[in-house]
Amino acid sequence: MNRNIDIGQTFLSIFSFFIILIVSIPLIYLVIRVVGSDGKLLDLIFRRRIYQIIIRTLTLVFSVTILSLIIALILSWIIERTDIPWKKFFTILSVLPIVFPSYVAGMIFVDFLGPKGRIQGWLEPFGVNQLPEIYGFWGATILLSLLSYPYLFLIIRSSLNRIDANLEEASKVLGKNGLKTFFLVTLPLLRPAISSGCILVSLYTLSDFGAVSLLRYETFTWAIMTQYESSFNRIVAASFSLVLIFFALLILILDGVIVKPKNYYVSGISGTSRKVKLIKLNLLSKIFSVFIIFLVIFFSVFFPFYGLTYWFIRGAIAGEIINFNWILVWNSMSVSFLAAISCVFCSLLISLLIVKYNSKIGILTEKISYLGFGLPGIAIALGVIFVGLKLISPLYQTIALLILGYIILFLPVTISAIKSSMLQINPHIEEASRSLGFKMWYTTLKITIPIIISGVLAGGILVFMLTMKELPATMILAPLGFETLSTSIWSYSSEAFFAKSAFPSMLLILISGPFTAYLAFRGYTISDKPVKENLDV
Amino acid sequence: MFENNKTIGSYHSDFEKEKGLIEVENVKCSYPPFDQIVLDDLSLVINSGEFVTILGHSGSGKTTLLRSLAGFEIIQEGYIRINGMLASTSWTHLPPEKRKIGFIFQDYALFPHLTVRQNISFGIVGDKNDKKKRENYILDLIGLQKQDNRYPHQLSGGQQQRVALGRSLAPNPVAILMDEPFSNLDKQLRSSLSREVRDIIKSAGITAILVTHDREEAMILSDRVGVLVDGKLIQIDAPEKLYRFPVSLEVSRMISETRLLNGKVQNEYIDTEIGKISIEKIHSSGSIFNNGSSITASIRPEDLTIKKSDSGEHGIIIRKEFYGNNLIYCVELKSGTFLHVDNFNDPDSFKEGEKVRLDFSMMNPISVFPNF
Repeated sequence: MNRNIDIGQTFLSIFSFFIILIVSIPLIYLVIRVVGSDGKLLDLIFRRRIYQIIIRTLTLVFSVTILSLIIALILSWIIERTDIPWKKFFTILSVLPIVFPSYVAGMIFVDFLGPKGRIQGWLEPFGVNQLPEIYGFWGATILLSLLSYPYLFLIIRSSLNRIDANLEEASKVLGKNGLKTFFLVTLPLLRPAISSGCILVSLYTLSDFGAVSLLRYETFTWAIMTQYESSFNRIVAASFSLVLIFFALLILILDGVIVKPKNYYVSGISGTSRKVKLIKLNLLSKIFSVFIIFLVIFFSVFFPFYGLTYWFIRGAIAGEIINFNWILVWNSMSVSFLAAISCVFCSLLISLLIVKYNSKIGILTEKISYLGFGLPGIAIALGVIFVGLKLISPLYQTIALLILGYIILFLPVTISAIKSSMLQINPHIEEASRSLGFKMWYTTLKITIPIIISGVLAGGILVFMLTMKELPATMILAPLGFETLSTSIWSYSSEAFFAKSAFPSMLLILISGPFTAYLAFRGYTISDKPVKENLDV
Repeated sequence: MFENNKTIGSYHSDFEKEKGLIEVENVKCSYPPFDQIVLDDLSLVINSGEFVTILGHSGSGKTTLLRSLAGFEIIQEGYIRINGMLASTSWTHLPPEKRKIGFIFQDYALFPHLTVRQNISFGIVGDKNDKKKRENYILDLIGLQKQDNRYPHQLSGGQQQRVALGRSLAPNPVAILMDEPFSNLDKQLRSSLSREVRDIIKSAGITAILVTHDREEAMILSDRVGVLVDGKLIQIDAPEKLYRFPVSLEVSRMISETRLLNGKVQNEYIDTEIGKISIEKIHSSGSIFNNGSSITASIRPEDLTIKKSDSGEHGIIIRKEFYGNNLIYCVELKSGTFLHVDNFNDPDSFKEGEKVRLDFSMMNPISVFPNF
């Protein structure tokens, strides 16, 4: 063994250990604070109110997952299996809701469908004085489903594309018609995709703060924030967070139980990979299918864009652009940039440890870091703030603590991107280059870096955009008086200053939207959570 | 195109005369973007209980033929009738699930989420008891009773193949169609399994159509072999007949390792570079040759014998290939033509670079085709 390598590995291992501490201490500290506070804690957790919140949260998670699954299944099946026109166009539009942060979409939703909202105004001449109530369960369910179905749509669509066309034909030739084939063959084959997509959507719903708050449906995130802001009662917020974390962990464990044991394998070796024969629809069903897609897109894409543009113009006329505080953009971009750089840096070292040295501590670090994307941002932020208050008080109320929170939240995104790009480097490539007479540094420059650069860029950009959009952790961790685009949009829209929030919302979507959509299509990682590709169909 | 007075019923009366289990008549099939013709005026009658192989290179249309029989492809002209029932025409199309046809895919297409037993059970209709009985019968037939609870990915390639066969036999289909079913297996397994599959199919008494590009597979397994070139069925006959009496140069090259030799018709003989062949010893598919016209002869290794040449050699041995049961010499003639000679029985061993004479062995008639 070379001495240099040992030193390198030791350094990386120590660094990894440090990362494990950073990720886990806030959680451990949250537990210590709650458990160690006083005897009345159990009373606090188990009083009646918390059951209501648990039931409300779980019903919402369940119904959003089911509704978005139905939407995603219908859209992806129509687009991938029938001969409707304009498929590319519909696919792009179906994924587009991914660019809206839930607090922006929620604002527009209220603006349109709220009491005395825009649609009610349009219908006023026809004698409609009241629309169905949007505040509460149904409003939150519909809004969150419209925002989160694209995650499922993307996974199901790519899985549908990869199903061996012969399997569906084999079912037909054995006497099963189209509908039976769908339920007996296609749906079971989609199961891995559906379950990992559902996990994604349920975690998204569990950690969403913006939509539920705007629609006044009290789930854990909203309850935590209200408890936290009425500052005398932080311990209640902390104990709520623990319960929330418990449910998130439950979903993550469920993920392991449901998805992993039943990986399907490709049957046979290759065969001629034939495109699936598209179902020929008659004119009437074609029109009906296109109408269904339009209906979804109308609410999930057209509404938000129309509403934003409307308020943007109203605001511009009122001088909101001239008076706009550009420091918000600078603040947002600088913290996002710092978060991205730090995540990339940490991930490079950890990935190196995993890929090059195949080290146990590296793999452990990766596993622990995955808590970051599974657990709700608001709970993690609360843990971080406790640590900031007690253990590292010089950092309390500084940007550094905010960045620390972002690292815990988004580290897995860069780790998975960078690790997978590093795994593409066949060790023989580097050896080949060196056997051709090139020095180590030249090999690194010409071979290694070009191969991993795409992973580094994709991971970094994704963290940048996720940080731009992040709301609850930013609200809790940002120093007093430090406002970002997302927090200012939130404060305007929660008080219904639509004209004021439209311009920053527009900026946010313009900055983050195109990349989010692009990365979603590349299938790299999608928005909040890395895509899990454990489907081998 | 069809005339109005030709109804399904009138076709049925035509059918009475022919009594083929599967009838393909004047079928034309083309693919949409450029209307590229894949099947061109193809006709074929397959009798009940027959094992027929369609032999063709990739792109010859053999898979499309099979897929149109199964109902996966729509035909533009002609008709396909299965068991007396009109299945495909330009105006009607019976969907695959109603054709009662078994299909074995090249990649087997076993359902990965179902066990061996569930795969086999998939197409069977009936009550629980009947189903169970049929499943057991099929499992017994394919010899996988012990593996009935395994999933496809837990099986070897040969076992997967047998499950595919069992699954398609289970619903008791009218006929079974196989699309290059052995191409994913290694060579040794391929020959043993293909014989096994043939035995199972024959013992079940079922009609089978197989498409392949492997001439040995076609010759060994089939009652009849059809040669498909560019969407046209050039010849369909029993393997021996096809081998001895090919109707065209293409057929001859498709079904055997053959080399071509130019010649000229002169009176009662055909004059070639390595000697004369009597007109009585040749096979030509009905064409009458004029004196002096030039021809191409299809020469197989067993058609020639080889001799050391002291004088007047025909060519030089440029390669020697030992196959165990064959010993093939590749001889370059003076004109630059290459011929292959099988000389396993001759104790005399020849070396590469040696000058030799060739003669016709006259074991089989030599196929001769006119030059155009």
